[in-house]
Amino acid sequence: MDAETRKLLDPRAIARAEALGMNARFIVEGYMAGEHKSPYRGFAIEFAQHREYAPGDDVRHLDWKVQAKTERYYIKQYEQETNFVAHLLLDGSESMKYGSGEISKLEYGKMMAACLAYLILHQRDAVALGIFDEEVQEYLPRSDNRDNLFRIMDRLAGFEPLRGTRLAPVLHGMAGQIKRKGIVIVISDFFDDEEELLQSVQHLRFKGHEVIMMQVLDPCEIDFPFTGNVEFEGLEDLPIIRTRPSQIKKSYHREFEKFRERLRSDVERHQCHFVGVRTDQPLDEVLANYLTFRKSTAG
Amino acid sequence: MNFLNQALLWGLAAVSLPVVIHLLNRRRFRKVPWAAMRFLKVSVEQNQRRMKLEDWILLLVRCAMIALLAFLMARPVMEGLSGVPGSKVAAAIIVDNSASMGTRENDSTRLARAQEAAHAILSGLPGGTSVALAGAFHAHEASNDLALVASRIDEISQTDRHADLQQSLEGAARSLKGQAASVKELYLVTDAHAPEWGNFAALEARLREIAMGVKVHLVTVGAPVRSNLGISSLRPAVTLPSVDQPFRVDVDVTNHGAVSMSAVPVKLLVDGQVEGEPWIINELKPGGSQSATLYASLPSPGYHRVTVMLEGDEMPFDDRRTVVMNAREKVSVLLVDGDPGQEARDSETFFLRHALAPVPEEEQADYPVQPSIVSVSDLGGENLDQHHAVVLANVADVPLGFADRLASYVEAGGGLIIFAGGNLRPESYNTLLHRKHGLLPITFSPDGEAPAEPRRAVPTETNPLELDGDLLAGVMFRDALGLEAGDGEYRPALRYDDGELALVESEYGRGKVFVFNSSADLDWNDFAIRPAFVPFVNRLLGRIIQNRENGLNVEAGQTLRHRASAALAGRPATVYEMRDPEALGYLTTLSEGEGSSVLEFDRADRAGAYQVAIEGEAEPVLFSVRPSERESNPEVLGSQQLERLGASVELFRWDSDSNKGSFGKERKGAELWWPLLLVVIVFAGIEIVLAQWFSRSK
Repeated sequence: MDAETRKLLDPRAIARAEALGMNARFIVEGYMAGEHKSPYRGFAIEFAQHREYAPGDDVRHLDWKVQAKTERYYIKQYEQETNFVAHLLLDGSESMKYGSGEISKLEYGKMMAACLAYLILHQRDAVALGIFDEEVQEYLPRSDNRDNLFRIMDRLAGFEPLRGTRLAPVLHGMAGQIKRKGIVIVISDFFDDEEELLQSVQHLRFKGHEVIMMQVLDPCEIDFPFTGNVEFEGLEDLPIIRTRPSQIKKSYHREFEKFRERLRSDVERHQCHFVGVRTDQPLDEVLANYLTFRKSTAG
Repeated sequence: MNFLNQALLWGLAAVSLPVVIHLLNRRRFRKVPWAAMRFLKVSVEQNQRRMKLEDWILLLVRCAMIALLAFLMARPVMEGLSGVPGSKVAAAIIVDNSASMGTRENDSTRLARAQEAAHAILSGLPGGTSVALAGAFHAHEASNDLALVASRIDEISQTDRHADLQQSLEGAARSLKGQAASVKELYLVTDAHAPEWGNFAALEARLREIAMGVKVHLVTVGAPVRSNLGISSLRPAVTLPSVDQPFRVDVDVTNHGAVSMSAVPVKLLVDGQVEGEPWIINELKPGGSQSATLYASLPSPGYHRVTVMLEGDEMPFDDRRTVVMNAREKVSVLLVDGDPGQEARDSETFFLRHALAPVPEEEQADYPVQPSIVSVSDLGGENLDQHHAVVLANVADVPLGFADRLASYVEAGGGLIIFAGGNLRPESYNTLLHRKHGLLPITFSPDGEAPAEPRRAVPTETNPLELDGDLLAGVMFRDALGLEAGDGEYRPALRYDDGELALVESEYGRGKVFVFNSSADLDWNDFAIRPAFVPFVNRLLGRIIQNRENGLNVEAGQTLRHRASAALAGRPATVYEMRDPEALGYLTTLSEGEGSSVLEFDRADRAGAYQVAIEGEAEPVLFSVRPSERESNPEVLGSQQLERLGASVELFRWDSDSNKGSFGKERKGAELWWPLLLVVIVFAGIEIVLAQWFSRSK
């Protein structure tokens, strides 16, 4: 029995992965129950081809114009029904370990990745997963097999951050590595060099990928509610900073908001989607909001 | 600049507190793991200089505030500054009320003038001043209530005591030392009576020391005295005062004044009633003394006042002197004969009986001393309480039961005299009376041998019996038992010329014990047929009787100690001054003493007779207080001495008309605590505003 198999059979790993999978399923199905419509249609909505009607097909997709011309029933098939590939790239650097409440940014990101993987595989599209820090640490090649879901969950659940962040080389690498156009979903706090990051995003866009950047932040990182004397210990081997946060709160807010706005506007300038997420937001709400947004923008 | 609480300047060390707290705070950080370090770093870099500057400003303000607070609490005083609110004055006023202050001046006395001066001093003090008022003997607690102090000035009463001014000054200086005030003033209002200044140089030096931190004023009152006759001695010449038995009263009068006195009548009074004709002093020159003998008799059993008085000088306190005497109808003495002999003249007590009642047989029944003789075998039926004294004369063994009764009897106030002799068995006395009861302070030597040569007896230095050494010189003592010091306390009254003890005196409970180690008959000496024997025996008896009245005549200011029956312990007693029936009595309580109860009274400041009424006792006890003899000398400090004092203290001659309102004019010196407090409050406000301002988010 090889190490990988042992890991898969590790009861704790299984439990972790199943818990993550169950959570993701719970979130996604909860969302679907409220929506009553296929949520995953929102990802790829370009018309692809016609196919002859077969019993059981949704009559709403019948192409009545073709039927009028040919008196035969054809169903419109969209790109979504073709296998698109979603590349889920999760930042697993040490900065993602931060969490002021019950959940860290990484745990939130893992949950988010798990939900997206569940959604995508559920619509029979392919998902590839990469977890990275300074380089890609975990990679699962694309697969549309639902059975692959457990492996995704297992990888996500088992990952522990150890290093700092270097987003740009990772994204450049992915841009070079991914042959087929797809959707690249990057889940990170993006605490990295902004210019390099934008160049790498531009690289992905150049390769024809749609890029969705989901920025996961802890509420404390946004609100900075600390008082008294605080010694901030950098999570990525950065030197400690001792200060009285209450006295620099405004300055911090200013700097942090500037960073977020700059990132959002730069990312959107490159026709990428930017989604800001707080770890105290319910994940289903976040996904629903974003998917609704995509649906509306897709027309 | 001075500090009233100099020790609190140590509080300046507290300036380090904000620094220490600041340093400690810098070390005390809550640790937070953090991801968004770059934004934090930028923010800190942008604000660091400002934060440091704010820290320094706050630290300086806090340190300054604490330094000012410590400075304030040390109560700085700026000399030469006046009119600053919050400045305090502490004053001590001593009003001399010693006997000399009773000297008459026109219609007033020196004390009345001193009280006027004290009122003037008080009115010159600013409101809120803490004033410690003291007489020469009793001090009041310092008070800020000037009206109360004024009423206390009026309550200071004349005494007939001699004052120790140094002690009064020390008390006042102590009182001032304990007070925190910018200005401290000490006023001594006195007649500058020289005897009270005692060692002038020492007192002058002490005043100089006190004047280092206190403004001392010497306020003198009174004009020089020219005439002062005083009764310098009053001695009733009787050992056992008895009812209707006339006795001699020896009186000495001294002229302490500067002028001759003539035709001064000296009267003798018993219980306030003049007895006989007055003694007229024809002329008494300054510094001279005259003695006279007056006669008195006591009309009834019990306590009586015998007073001698004269009139017509400026210092009245020593013109009158009283003694208290306790008259007894009969004094009963039990003579226990240890060697009765064949004939009366051979008996051991023959000479004793005649010495105690030296009158013919037919007059003995009326004689105040009633001796009765018993043999040892008859002791069982004898009630000891009927007798004032018991004499054991050459008694061989003390019967066991009798020893117990004897101890109880002496403890209750009886007297015991032991004469030795050939029959006396030392072991019996040593065992029962010394070791068992402690009645004898000494032991008899069992194997005493007669000295080779006859010895003579000489009175000891203290000579408590006031025996005449010349009379004793003719007595030959051939034999005596040896006396050895035991566990008890005793006073030697007689010694042989070789230094051996002959007679010792001791107390037991309320009673008295004498042990004489030679015989009362002629077996061991020829004392009984010598002239010294009768006064010897009578003085032994007199000492026993007087023992009960011990402490009935004391000097003004001394503590009266009267021993009473042990059963009276804890009983309340009231002491009245008899010459002022309106005066309130002093309440006191009899304390428990050794085999007795003790009345102690230390407020006998005036001369004269005092009456003590003990609850449950029908007959009151009287005692007399004589004025201090040291006060009779009218001399006051000379101009040279006053000049010397003037170098360190402010001299003030009190003249009520011209120098009213003069006190306090030169008072200067102001406390700075009030302005400093305002500065501290301002600093505290600045600190609060800055702390709020600096801690706001930027």
